[in-house]
Amino acid sequence: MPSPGETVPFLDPLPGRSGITSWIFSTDHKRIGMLYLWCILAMFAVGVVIGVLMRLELIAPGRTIMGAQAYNAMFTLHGVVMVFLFVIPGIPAAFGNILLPLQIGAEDVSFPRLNIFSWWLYLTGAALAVTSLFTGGGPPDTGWTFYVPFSERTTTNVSLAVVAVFILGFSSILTGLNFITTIHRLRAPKMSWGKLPLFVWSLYATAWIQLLATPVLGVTVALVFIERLLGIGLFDPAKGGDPLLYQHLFWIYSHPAVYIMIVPAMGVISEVIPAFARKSIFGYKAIAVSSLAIAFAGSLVWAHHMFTSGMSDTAVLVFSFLTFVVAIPSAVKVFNWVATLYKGSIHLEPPLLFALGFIFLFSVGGLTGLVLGSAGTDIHVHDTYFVVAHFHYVIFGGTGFGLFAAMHFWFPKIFGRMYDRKLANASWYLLVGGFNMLYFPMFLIGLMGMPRRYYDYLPMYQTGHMISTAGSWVLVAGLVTMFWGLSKCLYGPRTVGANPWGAATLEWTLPSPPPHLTFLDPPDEVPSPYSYAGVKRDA
Amino acid sequence: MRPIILLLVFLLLPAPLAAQTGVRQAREAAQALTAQEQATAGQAEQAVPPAEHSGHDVPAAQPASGAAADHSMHAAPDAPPQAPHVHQEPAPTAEGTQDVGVTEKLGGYIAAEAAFRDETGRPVTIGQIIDKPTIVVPIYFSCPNVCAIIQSSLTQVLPDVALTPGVDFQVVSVSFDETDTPELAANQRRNYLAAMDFKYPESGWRFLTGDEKNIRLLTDSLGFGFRRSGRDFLHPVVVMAVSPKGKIVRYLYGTKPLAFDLTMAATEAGREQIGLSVKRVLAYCFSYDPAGKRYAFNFMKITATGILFILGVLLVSLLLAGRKKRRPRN
Repeated sequence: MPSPGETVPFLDPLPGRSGITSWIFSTDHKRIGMLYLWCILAMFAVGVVIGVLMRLELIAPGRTIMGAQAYNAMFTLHGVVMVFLFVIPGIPAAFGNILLPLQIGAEDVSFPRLNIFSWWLYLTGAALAVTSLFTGGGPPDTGWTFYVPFSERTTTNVSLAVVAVFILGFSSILTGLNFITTIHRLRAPKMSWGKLPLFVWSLYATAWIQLLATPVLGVTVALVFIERLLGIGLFDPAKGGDPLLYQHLFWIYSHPAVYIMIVPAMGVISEVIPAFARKSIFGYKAIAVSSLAIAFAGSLVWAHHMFTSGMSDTAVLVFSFLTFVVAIPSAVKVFNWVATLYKGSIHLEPPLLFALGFIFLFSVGGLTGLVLGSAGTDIHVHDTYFVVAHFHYVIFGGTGFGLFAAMHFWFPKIFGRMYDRKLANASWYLLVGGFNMLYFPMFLIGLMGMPRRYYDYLPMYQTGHMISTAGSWVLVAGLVTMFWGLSKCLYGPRTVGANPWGAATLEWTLPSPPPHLTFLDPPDEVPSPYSYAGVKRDA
Repeated sequence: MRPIILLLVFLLLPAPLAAQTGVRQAREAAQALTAQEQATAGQAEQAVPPAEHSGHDVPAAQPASGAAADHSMHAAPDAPPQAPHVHQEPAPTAEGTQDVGVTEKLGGYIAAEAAFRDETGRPVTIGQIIDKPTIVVPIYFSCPNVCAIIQSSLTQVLPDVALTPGVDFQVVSVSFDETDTPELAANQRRNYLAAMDFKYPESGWRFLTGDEKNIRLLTDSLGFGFRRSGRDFLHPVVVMAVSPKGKIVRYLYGTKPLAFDLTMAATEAGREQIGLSVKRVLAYCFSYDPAGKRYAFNFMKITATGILFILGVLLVSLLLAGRKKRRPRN
């Protein structure tokens, strides 16, 4: 007779344990993952609203709906919220928590209590970040990079914001540590390294970056805090300090953080594409190794953010070269995904659509990244809208669409219900169309010289800005459609079987939604994660 | 209470680390500045404040660790007190027009072709003499105080240098007074070796004399600026470490270099040689701080090594531990 924990879906309360505390103090990785998911989606909504307001301000030259100071606060908040509260924890903390133990046949992560502690840290950091908007000398206006000397001198509430980032950093470090240990220690007996799903490989690579790079961020923002409090002059040339030191410290974390954002999304794509091409992934080892290669090489390229900061030419050349090196493992992945699709038996379901969107948008973002990584051209486009367009293509087009693909892929597994696929498809067209309309003109006005982080501009850029702002409305329409399509089935009956897509990784052998307790006995057989022979769809 | 203390510890821990980084950056900036000045101003500007003495004052034989030993600060009527780290022209005097002071030529080469005579009167060139890490001590024999003081302090310090004299390194005192002779040099050597109870090998401390042209050749290559003032000289108090190939690697200021500093300087000078691995480790832990004119514990390298080591332990233990054993269920 199995216990209730083995039969009751994890979304439903266990007998005698219900209410909010069964969620916010849960040590179940699936519930913690759901907590993260709701939080990051809420933060995403905040970030989107701020972004739309910024676009609205930029629809015409001059003051439209807000002044310069408000705009400065807006782009700072948009950056902080999107980067630290949405994108970085997005896929690893939400989907990684839910899926990592399921995909390796483990009962839970290695340190379940540390896991819920990480979420509490995240919540604390998020609360402090929000508090910093309404207290002190007004919302921070430094940009999410907190560059000195301005961040030391501005009277806005930077001190609290950097404390928030500091705490969020610890959340990220602990999650990384937890995942590394889990992947090493808790794999099912027959789950060898060569059978790990590629999503797990990507989480593994990401976790090492989280563990190694995030402490530097903690140190850096702590130093900004100390500078503001005590003024010891670490970054102040008048006191023997060096402002460039700050930029180095900041980007030593924040460039690898870009890979914390994108590598898990690449893992999602590596799961989705073979499942809908009904074909084993092309170049399993190459994709797995390229995740680690990106993590490693990506840690050595930080100073390409500083080509115009006055580094030596030698440093510029070396960092430019290393930046090009990172393009190689990224391209390896793209080619392998395309090769997987080749001659596949393609089922164009919403998750695959979003994955294809990822490949296209990420490729645009990646290739324009080479324009920026090349030291000569970077001088021309540095700090223009070209950069803004580039990183939105990578982060939103890449990580964002990776997250959307993950949501549409694992939604039936998590909720036991199928969303409205027609709405999902419609939202995809709106999203891709709106996305390109929003961000592509930024490449052009950036090349023409439109600097980033200004609330005003010359009339020559107005056409581009207007198209861009109109694109933001299409994009928002797409987001509304997508979340409407996903959420409207949430109150219907749970009808989805264990494996609606016919995928081959271990989580699809469990009921949808999975019960509270999973893999109390490790799976007897661990097939190859991308071998679809004999795998039946169970819608 | 405890979480607050922990938070404070977290906040404060990184401070020394970054402080060290800041120091290094400042140091690099200072080096860049020095190079720039050498390129543009040549001898006209002095990267290092001159440590000069007039020949009348009574210097306090106290090596200022932070700055060049500046004897004119002690009751020197003809030279105003000079604050360290201030670029300043020396006060003009009646005789000579040479600038007094040190223009550091780190990484430059000593004039190997400069010809001198050794204690026996045999002609030698600097290139012949310098075949091992060498501490070059520019002095003159009739010097009434600081030269004698620096050499006396060397007699106290050299036995404590953790290298074999005459083999791992040597000291070469070079007189910049063209009237000094090999006989005086031999006398000097006897006196100072006697001060060490003749326990120090003769080959470990050489005394050279030469003519004005060769002296200038040598001192210019070292960036050592001095000028005659009557029977005496105005000159900085500094010793240099030179590598076996003649590369100038360190400037050590003051009348009493520490044994440890000398060891480090000679060790660094010896980097061009093979077989100093242990000392290389030492050199790895300490680096020279030109702003502070002393060796500083290399916090960055040590902590970086520590972190990489801990990381390695984590990775290896994860790999060795393998998978966790599951308890069988009932």
